[in-house]
Amino acid sequence: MKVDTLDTSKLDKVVSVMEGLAQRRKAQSATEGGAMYYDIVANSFRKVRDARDEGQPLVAHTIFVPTELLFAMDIVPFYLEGMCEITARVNGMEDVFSAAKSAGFATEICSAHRLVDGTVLKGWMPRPDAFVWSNLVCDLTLKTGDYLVKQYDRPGFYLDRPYRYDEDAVQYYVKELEALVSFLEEFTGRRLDWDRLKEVMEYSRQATELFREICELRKAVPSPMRNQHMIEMCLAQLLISGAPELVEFYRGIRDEVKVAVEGGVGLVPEEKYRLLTFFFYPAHIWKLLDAMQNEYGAVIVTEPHLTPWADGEIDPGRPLESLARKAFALVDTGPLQPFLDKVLREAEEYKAEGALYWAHIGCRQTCATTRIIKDALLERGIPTLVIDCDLADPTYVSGEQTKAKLEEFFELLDERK
Amino acid sequence: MNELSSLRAIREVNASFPYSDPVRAWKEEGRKVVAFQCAYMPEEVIWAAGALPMRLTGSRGEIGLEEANAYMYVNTCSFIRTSLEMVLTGQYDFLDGFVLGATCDCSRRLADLWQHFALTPFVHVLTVPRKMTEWAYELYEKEVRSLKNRLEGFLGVQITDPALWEAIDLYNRERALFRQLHELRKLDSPPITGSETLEVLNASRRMPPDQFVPLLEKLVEEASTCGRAVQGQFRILVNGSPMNNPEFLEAIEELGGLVVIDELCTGIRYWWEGVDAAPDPIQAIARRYLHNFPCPRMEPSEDRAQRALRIAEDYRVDGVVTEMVRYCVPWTMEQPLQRMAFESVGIPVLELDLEYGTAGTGPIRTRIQAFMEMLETRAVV
Amino acid sequence: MLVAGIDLGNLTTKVVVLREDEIVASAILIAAGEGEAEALRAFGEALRPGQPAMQDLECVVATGVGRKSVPFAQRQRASASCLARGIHHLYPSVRILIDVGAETCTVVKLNERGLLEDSATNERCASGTGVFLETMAKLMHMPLEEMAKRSLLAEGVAEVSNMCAIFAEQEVISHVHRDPPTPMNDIIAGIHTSMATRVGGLAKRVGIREDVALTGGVARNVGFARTLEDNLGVRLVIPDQPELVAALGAAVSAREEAAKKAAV
Repeated sequence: MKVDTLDTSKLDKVVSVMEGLAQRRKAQSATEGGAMYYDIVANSFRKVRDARDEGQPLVAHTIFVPTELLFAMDIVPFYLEGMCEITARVNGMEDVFSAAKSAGFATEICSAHRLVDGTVLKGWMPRPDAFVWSNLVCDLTLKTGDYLVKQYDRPGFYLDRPYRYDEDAVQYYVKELEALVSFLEEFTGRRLDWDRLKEVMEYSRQATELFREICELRKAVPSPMRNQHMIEMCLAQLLISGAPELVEFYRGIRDEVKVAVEGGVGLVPEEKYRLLTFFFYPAHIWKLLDAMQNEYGAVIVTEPHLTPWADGEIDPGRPLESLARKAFALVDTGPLQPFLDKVLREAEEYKAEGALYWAHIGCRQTCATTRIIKDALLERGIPTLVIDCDLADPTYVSGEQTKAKLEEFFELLDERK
Repeated sequence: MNELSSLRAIREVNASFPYSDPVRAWKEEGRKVVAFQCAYMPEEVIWAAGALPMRLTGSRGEIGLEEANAYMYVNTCSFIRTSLEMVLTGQYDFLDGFVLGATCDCSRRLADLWQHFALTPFVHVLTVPRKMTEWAYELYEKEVRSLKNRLEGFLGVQITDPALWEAIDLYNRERALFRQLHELRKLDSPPITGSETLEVLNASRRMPPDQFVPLLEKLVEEASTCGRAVQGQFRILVNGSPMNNPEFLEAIEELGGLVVIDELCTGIRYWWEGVDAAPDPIQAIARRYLHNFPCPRMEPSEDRAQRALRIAEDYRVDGVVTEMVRYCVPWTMEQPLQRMAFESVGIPVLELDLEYGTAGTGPIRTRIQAFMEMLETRAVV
Repeated sequence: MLVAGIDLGNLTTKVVVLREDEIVASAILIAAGEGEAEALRAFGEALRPGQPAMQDLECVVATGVGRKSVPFAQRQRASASCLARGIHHLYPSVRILIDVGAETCTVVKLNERGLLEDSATNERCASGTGVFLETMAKLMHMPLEEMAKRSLLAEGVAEVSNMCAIFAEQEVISHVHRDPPTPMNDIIAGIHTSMATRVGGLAKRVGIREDVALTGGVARNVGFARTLEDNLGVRLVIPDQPELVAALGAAVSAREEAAKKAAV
């Protein structure tokens, strides 16, 4: 089965939706740091849509594949999980889920990945010139790559990140990145300009510094950063790591947060509950969280799964090694203990009172750790609410049910004050 | 049809699993048992250290998983939850250690849990690369060496090169015998059924290999000479998630299928490749385990798919039964492509979603039956 | 100080009236109406002539599924925290409470001060709830009260699925029609074991710590209670009026509310 028909009108729709959102955001507040987010998304989609016409090589990649390398070679990155999910959400998820089901993908498979496979099968995404995938963050990422390479009948490169972080593993991963560079050079017919890569890595370094700064600023009481910004920061990073726009975006947020911290201004007039959250919250929950913030004063102080790069060190003079270490900062693909240590440390540093664990039914590797993390937090007086949900499928659990659970949880937290 | 008498001893070992008689005797001598969870764990190293490597599996049947569910989640595959359940309910209390290759998400989370609660005095996790490049072999070799060092520390022994080579020889002998046995399964009417072979494979990792090898020798001898000829209508390859319950294969074989080969990590991956000679035994071991018949976690997935097609050809397979444990992502995501690969060479595939330990009763049995009937219709046409 | 708690459940409405530490009135009503009307009816039942009157109540707290539809309640609270307060009032040594009601099964973890630490509810499935036992009693053609005791007399335990209420029903039917039929008491023992496995499983996910209490209407089912004790390996604390624990907890909460107001 090969994907032949390609319907770029679906991407047009995404671009126009994103442009609309960007405009609305800017109209709401011209100085808002997060306003750039939708611009970034719209631009990324535009580039992917137009790559063929503009004669640019297009490489589809899975999450956390270093886009720095792609930018350094003027390759257009097509971030599969994020872009397919957005495309499906804008154009009709039901169709996409059906396509995945007809192709033989069990419903137990994470919905985010079924959306990738389904969107491709529907021909809604452009045909990339090559694929690069890895085992970050889970077994599924790996298998999605296998499947798509076959469906699109294109050359592909699998990037293998070892399980445990040690020096041997870093060296191994550097060799993997070297092999990736050779692969990219071969299929594009271009040589990687290492000076250009140095420039790109410098942007990456600046972005990491700003990220770290933002994470530090967020420790302030009251919490200075809007819940939604962290998700936006992460998605932006997944789309354009190494691009100057990412630095600009982070700078905007940093400035906004800094002003809030210096003025002692919090997100809400009365901050009642400081919460940690685990894993990604589904897109259809974002509105609910804003409401929780405004109605209940529940602020998210940090997200241990999403902030590992705050610890990163990028040395533009050692690009591949830096990228390797950056990959090892990711907690999902490695052992639990370092992550657990991070969680407990951050619970204290951010003065968290409660935690929300988004137990995405498709994610085996995060759900399996809920009990240990929950017990460890409770020992320190921090209760955790584990919320069954589905990352992409809004019909799995209703917003009403989730809201009811959150309300009960806030009651529980009230009692402990 | 007459029985293979050599199976009797093997059945006794399985009957007393998990604390089987040979394991009990081993422990009573004051020796150690180290369990492992995955075919990418180099057994020779444990054996050379003087400990008994034992595969952590379930027994027969699906079991209640309440204790395991309390610590893992509904979307952790039931293979891992079954193993954990058995550990938490004390059935594996005799274990001294646990070694895992961090090969798939559910099993590595089991390792996290195991380490967190120190379920055994010794726990070790190996990084296992997903490729077979030069640097992958190097990394894996380092991991195997690291395992050796840690075992030396825990057991208070020196694992010498001669001890390693001796272990390699023993395991190679076992693999060669299994290969012989499987050559016999290529016959039109093999002397041994699929479910019986699974019993043998199960027993192989439930007792000291130096006691198992003589049993296997006897079995191969008997099978080669006894003139037993199992009849079956259709030659079946079974693949999918880890599977240890012979009753499942019995169900297929009662309904007219003849299971002639498997592509399971509880089957073919034990014996497919031997350890080759090399300057250094750890290097030799690492090479063999990484290069072995791959599981769907390995890249490129083409490699595994091609090997699977080749054995389907060698064993003249008429149909494939794929049993996938719910939430076994490596298999369920591989399956659409794998299925197409088999079908493109004219081999139909029966896909079964089930839980680990299933015996193949009820609706599963009905589906197997329907598959056999479909094969019949095809044969006529 | 006179306060009250009202628990509006799926099948029944419960009221508890508290004067200081003592329960002075209570009622359990099979719910016939909705919301406010139902609540008033329940209070009417509890506060008979000679009892205090509604207007003497300083504070009323509502809980349960219908808690938001009681306009005359000063506050509404989630069931979990009321269960915690209620059991802490009765038995301060309890750390885990298992509430098996008509349609839900909730496990609550509380600390030594009676504060809620964690809770879990069996959401998607009837097989750990009162409805399951009702259905089974019908299949066995006997009143629930009779079925409750008979597992204590069983010699064996019939296999009954704990995975799914529908499968369990099918299995019970086949046990009844087997030739020779499985002994009634053994089937009932199987039914209780199936439900205890389900309920026990939920409790284990929260984590068992003694003392463990069993509440809700199903707690009166002595056969089930014993089977659950076997499953968990602990003796269960069962209040005399197990259906009233949440309403009692709501009343305790009402007392706290009233005290806070008085202090101001």
